[in-house]
Amino acid sequence: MNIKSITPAAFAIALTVLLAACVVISAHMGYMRIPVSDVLRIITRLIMGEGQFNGIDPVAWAVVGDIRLPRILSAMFVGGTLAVCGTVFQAILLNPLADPYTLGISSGAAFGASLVIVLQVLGLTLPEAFTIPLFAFLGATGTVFVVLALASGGSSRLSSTNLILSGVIVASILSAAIGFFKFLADEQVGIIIFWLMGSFSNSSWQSVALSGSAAVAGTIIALFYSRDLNIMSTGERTAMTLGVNTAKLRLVLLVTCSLMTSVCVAISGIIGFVGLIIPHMLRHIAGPDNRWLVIMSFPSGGLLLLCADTLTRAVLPVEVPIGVLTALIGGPVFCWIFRQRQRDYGQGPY
Amino acid sequence: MARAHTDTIPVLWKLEGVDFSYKENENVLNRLNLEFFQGRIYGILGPNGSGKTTLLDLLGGIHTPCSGRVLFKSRDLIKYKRKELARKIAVVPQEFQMRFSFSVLEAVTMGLHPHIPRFESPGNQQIQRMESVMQLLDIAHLRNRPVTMLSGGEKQRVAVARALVQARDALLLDEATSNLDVFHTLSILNVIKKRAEQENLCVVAALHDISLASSFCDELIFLHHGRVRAQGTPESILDEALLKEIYGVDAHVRKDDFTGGIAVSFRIPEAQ
Repeated sequence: MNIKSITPAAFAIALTVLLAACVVISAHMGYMRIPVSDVLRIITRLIMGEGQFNGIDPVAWAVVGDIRLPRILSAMFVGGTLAVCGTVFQAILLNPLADPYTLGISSGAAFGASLVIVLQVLGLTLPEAFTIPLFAFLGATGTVFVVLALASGGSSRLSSTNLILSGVIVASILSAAIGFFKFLADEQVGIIIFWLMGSFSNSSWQSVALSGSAAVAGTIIALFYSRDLNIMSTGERTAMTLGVNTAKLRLVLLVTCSLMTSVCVAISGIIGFVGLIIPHMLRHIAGPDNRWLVIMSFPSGGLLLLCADTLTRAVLPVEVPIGVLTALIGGPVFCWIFRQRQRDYGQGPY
Repeated sequence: MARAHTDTIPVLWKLEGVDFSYKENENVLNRLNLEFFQGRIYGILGPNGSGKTTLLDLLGGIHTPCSGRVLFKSRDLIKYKRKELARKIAVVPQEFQMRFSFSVLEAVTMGLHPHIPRFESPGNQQIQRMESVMQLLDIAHLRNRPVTMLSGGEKQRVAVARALVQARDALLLDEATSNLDVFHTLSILNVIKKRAEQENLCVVAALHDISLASSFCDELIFLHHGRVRAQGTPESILDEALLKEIYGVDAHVRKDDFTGGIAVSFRIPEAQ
């Protein structure tokens, strides 16, 4: 399976159109079915910056405009961001198993969030809606800087093995701390577990603005360096002799993507597999050129997470945590791609 | 005699009292004073750990000297930007590495990376240059093949093609043919030699095979314990005493009528 005959540009455009269509269809679906024509009219009026008008049911306006669209767009932006970050992390760490959480970001965020939850359980009063995302963000970014400091060991070089190893070390320390928090939370441990599995049910227009700006900024930076990412796959030494400042490239992109991922985690909790599976799938379909992979990752990741979130919101009888759903869908698909790869290219790394 | 005409040929690299160490007080290279001239082919020889690869890394700007300096085109190497240097010097590594399944054409195009501004594509002239190099190395028919599926010899030809597309002044070969069979070794070195003549490239090659080095290179540099032990044309410096001292083996050096070069054979000295 190789869509080399279709140009990458056409494929990227098709993905984007499909994503737009899914946004509309998803807004139409749910407990209350709203006609597609009404959804389209509401979206146009929102984009034009116009208010409600008489032709549309005010309830439909509220459901689509205030509840569904913020959730749909947040899922789209978070999915897209995670996929772009996954592509960048795999290219820069020269490791096909890397994902946006490789440097311990998820553990850092989980640590921050569960710390707040435990403090609340123990009787500390904090304004809840504000502090969990904030602490998750601080935990995630803090962890990244600790990992970077640990990996560099005082020199300016950042080898990929050192980075991955540092990520594993820090993550395992944080996991132990999270385990202790769960123990302290006692009967209320459910709140922590639920947060860890991710959800978009609390999305607001504020989350859309945050995830949207993270997505746009990060994607532009990733795109700017995408050709250097291709050169990175020749290995660190050769990349240097081909004119790439590998240490600087690693630092800039790791910090950028880590901040983007931290924003996502703060909004939606930890959602695995999107950042791992999308780059693999795209590389399988469209080849290894990072210039196209970065462009395609965004709509693909957005599409995947939007469909998963719509599934749990509007199709399934009970809302399943989104992180569980992505792992349940992503895991088997990943196995399939992995097998295909081995058949097509032998056993070696690719 | 080799020095006689060097007054007119420009110096490319000039090493002035270069020391290098990875750890403190353990110098890998000691007080190196060397000159490399444009259009000439140099062979760096010496036992494992004598500092060959480190010397290439210094010439390529991957490492910077702990003391002394490396001048490239009369300018200190540390003053060059990575990209600027990459336009002039290319490296062929011992083993071609590619993490993802780029095609042969994409891999060769990577040699143009320092020459093309961001977001631009190669121009007609550059595409022609790539085509001629791929013809030269006999990999044009593999252009759409993923590099991950090539044989060792084919991979190394791709690495050489990438370097020839990239380099405008110099090539550094880091034991580039050590893993190849006789045919691939000779054909790759032949292509490099021809190309170096055409484009007036300076080639510095770290090598293990002394006979091969003596037929491929204009000048040999023997490193021993991080110092230059001998330097000059193969005919003028290769002898039994030198090889015995550096490698600790009994050697037999003779003129080889079949290749027109020098043949060297070795044996472990018998215990006394």
